[in-house]
Amino acid sequence: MRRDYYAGALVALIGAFFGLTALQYQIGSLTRMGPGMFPLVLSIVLVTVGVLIAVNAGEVVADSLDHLDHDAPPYPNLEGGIAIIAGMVAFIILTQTLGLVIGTFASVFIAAIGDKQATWLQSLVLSAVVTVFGVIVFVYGLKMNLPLYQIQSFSL
Amino acid sequence: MMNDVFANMAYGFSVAFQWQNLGWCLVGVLIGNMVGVLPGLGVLSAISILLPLTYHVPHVGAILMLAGIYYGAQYGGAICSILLNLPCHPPHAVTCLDGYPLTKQGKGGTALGITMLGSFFGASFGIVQMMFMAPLLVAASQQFGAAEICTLMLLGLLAGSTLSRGPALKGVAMTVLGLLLSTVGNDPQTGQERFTFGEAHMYEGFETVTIALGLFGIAEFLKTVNRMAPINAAYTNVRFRDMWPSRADFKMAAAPAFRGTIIGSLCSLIPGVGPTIASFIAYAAEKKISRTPERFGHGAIEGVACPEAATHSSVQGDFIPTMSLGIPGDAVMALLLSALVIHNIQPGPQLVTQHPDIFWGLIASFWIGNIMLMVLNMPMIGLWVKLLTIPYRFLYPAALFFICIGTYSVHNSMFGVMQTLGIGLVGILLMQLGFQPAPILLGFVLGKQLEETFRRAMTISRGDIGVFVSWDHKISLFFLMLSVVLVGSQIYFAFRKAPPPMQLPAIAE
Repeated sequence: MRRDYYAGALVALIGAFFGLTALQYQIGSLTRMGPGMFPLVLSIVLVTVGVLIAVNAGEVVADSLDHLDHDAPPYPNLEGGIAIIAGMVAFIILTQTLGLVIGTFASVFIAAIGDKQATWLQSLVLSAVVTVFGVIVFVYGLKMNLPLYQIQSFSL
Repeated sequence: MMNDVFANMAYGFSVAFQWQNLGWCLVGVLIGNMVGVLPGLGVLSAISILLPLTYHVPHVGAILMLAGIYYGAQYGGAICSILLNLPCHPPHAVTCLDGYPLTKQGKGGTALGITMLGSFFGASFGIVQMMFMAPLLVAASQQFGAAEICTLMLLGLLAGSTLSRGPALKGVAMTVLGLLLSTVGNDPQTGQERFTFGEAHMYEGFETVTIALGLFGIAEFLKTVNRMAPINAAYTNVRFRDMWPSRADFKMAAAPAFRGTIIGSLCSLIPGVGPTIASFIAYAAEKKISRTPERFGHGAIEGVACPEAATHSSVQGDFIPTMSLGIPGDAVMALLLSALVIHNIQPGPQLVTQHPDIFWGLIASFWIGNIMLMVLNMPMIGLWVKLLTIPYRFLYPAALFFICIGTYSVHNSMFGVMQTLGIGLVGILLMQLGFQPAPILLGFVLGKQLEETFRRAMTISRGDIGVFVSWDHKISLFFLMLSVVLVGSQIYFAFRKAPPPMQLPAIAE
């Protein structure tokens, strides 16, 4: 499977990234291990496993449950995916600048219209219900420290 | 010993019957059952979403609730498999094979009834197993030093990563990635910042909640949105009186359910072998010993009873290593372990003596919860069946809100929400490349402890790596030998030809 070349390469790259960074920390000796030792060992293992995955690409692996995963998963749906990501970004930015009510309503609405069968009316109702529920549970119930409405510039 | 167990159980019931604990147990099994029934939401997503909310719940209640979600979802998951042919929960995928044909023949109610009775029997057996085995494990672990705990964790991680779903090598890769993620942040022993790149928000490292919600929330939604199989609700008209099995059906299913229970409890003894594998083995075994194997796949009641009983006894058995040794076998147990840590409770063998309220209260709550689930599912089946038809398009936007607010609440900072989004994007990339995300969490949760005990073992032995295989540490040597056998058998099976795959409907997790 071609997919496994990329899979192995990605894993090896992640390992190399952690490994090279860990080299900058003190490695120490086995008796007195420095902060770099454990991550460095793990990175070496990860690079090795990555190479092994790439080398074994194309092999059929005997695994009783393999057929659950063997078929390449279909690509995620683009519109739906973008809506979910955009919904989350909307929550991050709008809650911080305009408050929880607008942040919640916008994020749920944006995420909801990503579904192919979504209608405007249903999405609006869903967003309203989640917003009301969220405010009651988190702000009034759990006393979470988030202003309902505000006007503020964005900062973390 | 026997008297001890019963005295402890009496204490456990006194904890579990406190009204607020009863309430949390009920909340847990209700949510679990609901999550199981709803197509498109998984146990891991549900527990991760509720994990940040348990900051506000007393510790016993929090654990009882989260555990209730796990075993409650197994009851609900069977409904989804049998009536809709949607294997939303991997342990119940195999139940579709005979459950759905039974439904099409108009015997869906009987299949559900047999499932509920078999499940309760399996779960009861699993709980009894935990009552007696957990104390034994705790007693055995009294002699464990740093070296033993270290190799035991290694064994647990290896088993969890190679025996779970998907190719073994990819599982190992994800576990190691999880271990590496756990090293991010301030090194507790030297104060050195690792992999933070000067970002002050990263000083504390990643939070379990953030990683779990990124992988099992955001990445799952990205994968599932607009990709759900259409729900065919043609056969969902099931009433309570349809569920009571006839004498003939009951007779036919009793022995398979018993065999399934035994298989499930044996599987739960092997670290890393969870309910999914147990149910597959149970189905295959039942088909093999059947005098009429040709009926399987066309509505054999044994093909429902056996794997369902196996799932439930294995689910309860799953708790044994987690609660008695602090070594989780899979991602669900890793989440439960981190719930303990959130409440400042150190998991491990000392948990039983230091927090008997959690340990024995939990076991007692299993009894209560399973009885609640029987009551919820048998007479109230009509209500749950209605839930089956709630479309995914209402679920994921609402869940997205809970993810956002949950990850915000960890440090009252939007940085956590951004992290979750980032982890979700990495997660969907890894899933597309054929990796399973669950071992990442397993590695992450055990990572800090593994590093700490490894360092301690090395300091004690003055840097002698041979301490793990020395004769003074026979138990550690034994664990390492088991690990070698495990890896060896994986390599052996990898070079044999793959068995013909069992025909299964596509998994929509």
